[in-house]
Amino acid sequence: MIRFQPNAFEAVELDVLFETVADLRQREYRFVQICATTLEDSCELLYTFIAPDAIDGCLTGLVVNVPDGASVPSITELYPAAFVFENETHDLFGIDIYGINLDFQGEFYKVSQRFPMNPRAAEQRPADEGKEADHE
Amino acid sequence: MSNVGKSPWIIHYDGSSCNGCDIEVLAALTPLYDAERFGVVNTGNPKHADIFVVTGGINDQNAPVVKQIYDQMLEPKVVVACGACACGGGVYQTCYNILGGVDTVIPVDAYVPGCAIKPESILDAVIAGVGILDEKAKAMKMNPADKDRSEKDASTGAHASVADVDDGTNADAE
Amino acid sequence: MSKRTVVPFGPQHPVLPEPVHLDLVLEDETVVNAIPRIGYVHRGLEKLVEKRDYTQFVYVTERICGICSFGHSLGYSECVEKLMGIEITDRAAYLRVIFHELSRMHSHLLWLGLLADGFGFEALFMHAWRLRETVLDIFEEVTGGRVIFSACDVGGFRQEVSNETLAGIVAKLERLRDEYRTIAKTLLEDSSVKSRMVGVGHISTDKALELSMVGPFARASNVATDERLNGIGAYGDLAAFEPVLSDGGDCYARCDVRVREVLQSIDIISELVDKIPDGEVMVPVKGNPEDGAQAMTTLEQPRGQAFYYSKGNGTKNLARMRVRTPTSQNIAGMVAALSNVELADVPMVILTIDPCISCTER
Repeated sequence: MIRFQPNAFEAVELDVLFETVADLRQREYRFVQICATTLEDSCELLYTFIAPDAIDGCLTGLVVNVPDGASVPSITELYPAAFVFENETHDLFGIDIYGINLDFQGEFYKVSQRFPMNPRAAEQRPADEGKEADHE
Repeated sequence: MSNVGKSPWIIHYDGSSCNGCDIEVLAALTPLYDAERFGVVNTGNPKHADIFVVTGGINDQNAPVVKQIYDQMLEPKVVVACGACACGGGVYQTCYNILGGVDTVIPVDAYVPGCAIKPESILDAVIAGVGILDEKAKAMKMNPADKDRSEKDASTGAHASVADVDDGTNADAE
Repeated sequence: MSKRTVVPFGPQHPVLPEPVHLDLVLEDETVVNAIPRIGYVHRGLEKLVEKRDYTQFVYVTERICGICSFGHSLGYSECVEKLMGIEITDRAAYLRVIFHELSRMHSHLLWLGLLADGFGFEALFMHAWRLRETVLDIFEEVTGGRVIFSACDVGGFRQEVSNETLAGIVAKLERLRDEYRTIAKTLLEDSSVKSRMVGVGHISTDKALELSMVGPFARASNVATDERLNGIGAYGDLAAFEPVLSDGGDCYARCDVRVREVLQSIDIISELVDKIPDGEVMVPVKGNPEDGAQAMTTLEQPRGQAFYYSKGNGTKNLARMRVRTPTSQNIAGMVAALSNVELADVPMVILTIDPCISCTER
């Protein structure tokens, strides 16, 4: 009986993220998800993929460090299903992602707090005029 | 059961719940629990409904929808809050996106506890709801102010309410 | 060119038990584009991990969704066990899979009923839900809960289930199997049902791969994706496991796949009950997850692959807990399946994806 699903984490720089994902797309990796985590002074994005020949369902995780204020390229050109996670990452963590195929402009989740998962971003970037005025 | 005055039609809406209570509401209508024997029909149209069954702790995005469904229902109407979340937020009480209960948005007549609620308790709540419905209809007959409100409701909706039918001027309709 | 109209669909809609909103862009009666709008059920459960410790959080994950409740507690427990290196006993691993497959049956029967209701076959809806009660009775008998039953916990399975009870479960399922076949026959062979489903909302294999679709939705387009193939836990002890596939790619194929998966689940449960080893069902869980440790796991839920990620920070609270549910992965596929269908078929196409909005938004 196999107990644990194998994991492979790999650190990737933000500026080569798109090329790295494009390479995985070329090799027919399947896209799983994008997860953001708020760290002490930056954010971390975890992109998960499964190789076509993965043994025991080994998951490949690309860990990208995103400094505050940095913009992240969208991967929806390669994996269209990522638009859900990219919009979510923006709405909950306040990370800017450019070039999303279906960009909801911060209206995907209409949450009562601005960037609830990332208090730092909410502090640094108070609501724009008009935007989310409903909640005030 | 002899005191069930009318066939209560229900409208169900999921106000940010986990689905557990919603599937139990549906289960109450299916053969094992068979709420239909009391004349309960699940309708999708607020204007046809007598009882509004709401589940979940309501978030900001859902609040206007719940309010709108409530406003579209004709008097007399009863709101049943189903499950721990609908009663007071439940396990999500401290979440950033939960208002904490249906009564933060609309007045609630019956609270049904449980996580998830059991179909039996939904049956109980709906039957209790019919009792409240009867009382409200009676009160409307006595109180002309309520009657006016109901007529205003009726002019925006397409259907006559109980009060209109019971009105002395509409004696033919009785 | 005909004029375009936008028809709002939801959040309150008779076929939807859950609120989701779609803006349907129509040309005459045909949908040319569908724009999803979610957030009606967003509660912010991932943030709650800061306030609940890792053993308490099992109960929160169970309440991500009432239909996939057991699956979420299982996925979360597996992820935290990997994070902390806890090895559960074989008996617990078997019980988990048995109850997970029972959950799949309850979810699929629920879905078959909703689908029948979606195209106006109310009698079939009632029968599917009547059969589903058999499974819920099993849950209630063993655990005391019908839909949310707190059976899975970090470290194993919360209660011992005797071999006699397990044999009783299999006997009940065998009786259910015959009755279920009659319903399945109506669903798959009735000409009026077929005329609603065949050829509607077609997705090709290439498209399914491109859109990263998962679960029965992808398998109906002949994509052999099934996390049970990885053989994690008791799935690895099955003599053989083949995912249920269909090459139709339309609503009928999706229905066909789920109908056959119910029978497959009964087979899996029977086989595991035969093989289940004796022993304890819980191992003691001590200590906290290490600072910086992280773990990813996947699980085949009734709706497809679910993903769990957890990260420790040395305290009893996790630094981050992430759940990616099958429906969020299938939203792109749903939008693709909706293009070029008639307006009247929209509810049915949405139903055949088996969307679980509570899961998606957490």
